[in-house]
Amino acid sequence: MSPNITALVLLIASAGVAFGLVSPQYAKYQVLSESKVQYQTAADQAKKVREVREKLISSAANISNLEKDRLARMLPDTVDTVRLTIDITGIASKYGILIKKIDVKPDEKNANSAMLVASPFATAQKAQSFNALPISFTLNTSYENFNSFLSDLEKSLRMIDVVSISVVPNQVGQYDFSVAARTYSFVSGTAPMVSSKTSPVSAAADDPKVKVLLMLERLSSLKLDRGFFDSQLFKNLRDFGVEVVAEPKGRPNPFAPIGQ
Amino acid sequence: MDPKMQSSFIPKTSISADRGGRSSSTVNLFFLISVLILIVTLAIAGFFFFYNANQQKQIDTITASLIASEKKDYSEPIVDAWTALDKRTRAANEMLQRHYAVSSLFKLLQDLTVKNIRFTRFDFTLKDDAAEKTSISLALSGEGRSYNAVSYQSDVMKSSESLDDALFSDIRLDEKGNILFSMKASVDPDLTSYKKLFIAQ
Repeated sequence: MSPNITALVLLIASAGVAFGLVSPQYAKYQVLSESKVQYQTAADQAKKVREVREKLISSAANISNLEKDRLARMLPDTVDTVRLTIDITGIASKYGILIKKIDVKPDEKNANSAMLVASPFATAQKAQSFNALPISFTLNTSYENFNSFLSDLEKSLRMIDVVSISVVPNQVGQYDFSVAARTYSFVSGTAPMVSSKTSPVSAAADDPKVKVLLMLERLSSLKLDRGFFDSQLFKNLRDFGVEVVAEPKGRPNPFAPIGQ
Repeated sequence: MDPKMQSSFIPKTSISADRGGRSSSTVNLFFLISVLILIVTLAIAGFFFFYNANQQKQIDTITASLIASEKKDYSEPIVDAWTALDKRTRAANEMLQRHYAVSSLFKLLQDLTVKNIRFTRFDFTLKDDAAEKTSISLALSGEGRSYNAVSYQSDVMKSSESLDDALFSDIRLDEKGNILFSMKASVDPDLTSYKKLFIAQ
């Protein structure tokens, strides 16, 4: 074979290698380089996740179970209407006040949402992760006793905000008080792994890089603020809850008069 | 004449033979360059191949460590528990900041009521909207022993920093000679703030 032809064949082979091997490998190199940067960033974020996680473990350990119980009492998952009635009547009974009837709207989250939409307080509530339940009751007592009762109600750990009071005198020294108030329940709604910022990439949520980013975003948003539990404002709230004592159960005829 | 001396300028070797020599050296250079190009191209391909394999290996190592951290550090139940605790704490704090202590309203009324005045009806309504604006309206009915007492009561109410737009109306005499009146006012929301009351105490 003539040297010229051989050289030409070699050049063609070089071109073949350039296009067939170098070019795809270079393209892969570019993709891998970019990908490696992303993975290295993710590895750095994973380190941050561990740091944030350690801090959160420490912060969570600094909040005692008693404080968590008080918090749950202040803002329960659902409002137990019977216990709420017991709490309010318990405070009232300290001052010899008899509340004959307390109206509490049941804590149905969905039904409540409908109510909240109609309420001007709705937007703020939704943003603040709690539902408000209206309560109303009437009572008849002296002005002094009502004032003491109201003062205790304000300091109650079970958060009750009085929003309306009507007072009408009915006897000497006695008054009819109509009270409207609201209590609150917590809307847990645990945040999903996919944040609003990255929701379009929900399909990529299985990607370890995305998971790290989402976890870092989620953990970084948590504070577990001890300051709230240390605040005098919270500490000053009093638990007027009455312990419900177990009673004998089992009746052959549940409709028979009590005592028979 | 010296036979070695060339008497003619016409070369005795053929032109074609001379050309053939120059062509051969050109072909050799061309061949060498071609070989060099092929070697360099193969070397570059080899470099990228091994470099990429190394890159991929590093990425696989990082991926494995990310998956390992995910299993170790991203325990969903504990993160969910922290999220719920954090959210509940924030919500409770927000509620406490907005908590109302309306007993202060009665304290205000006790301080402002003139001795010769009594109230016969009290209606208070608190409204808070999405913009976190709280409005408190107060409607009272009462009676006084004299026009002077009612007039002074009006002055006292109007001069109170905690009441706005105090308006007395429906002033009339009852059968016993007492002066009946109605009053409306809006209340400064700060007055009913539990937080402010607590700090003041």
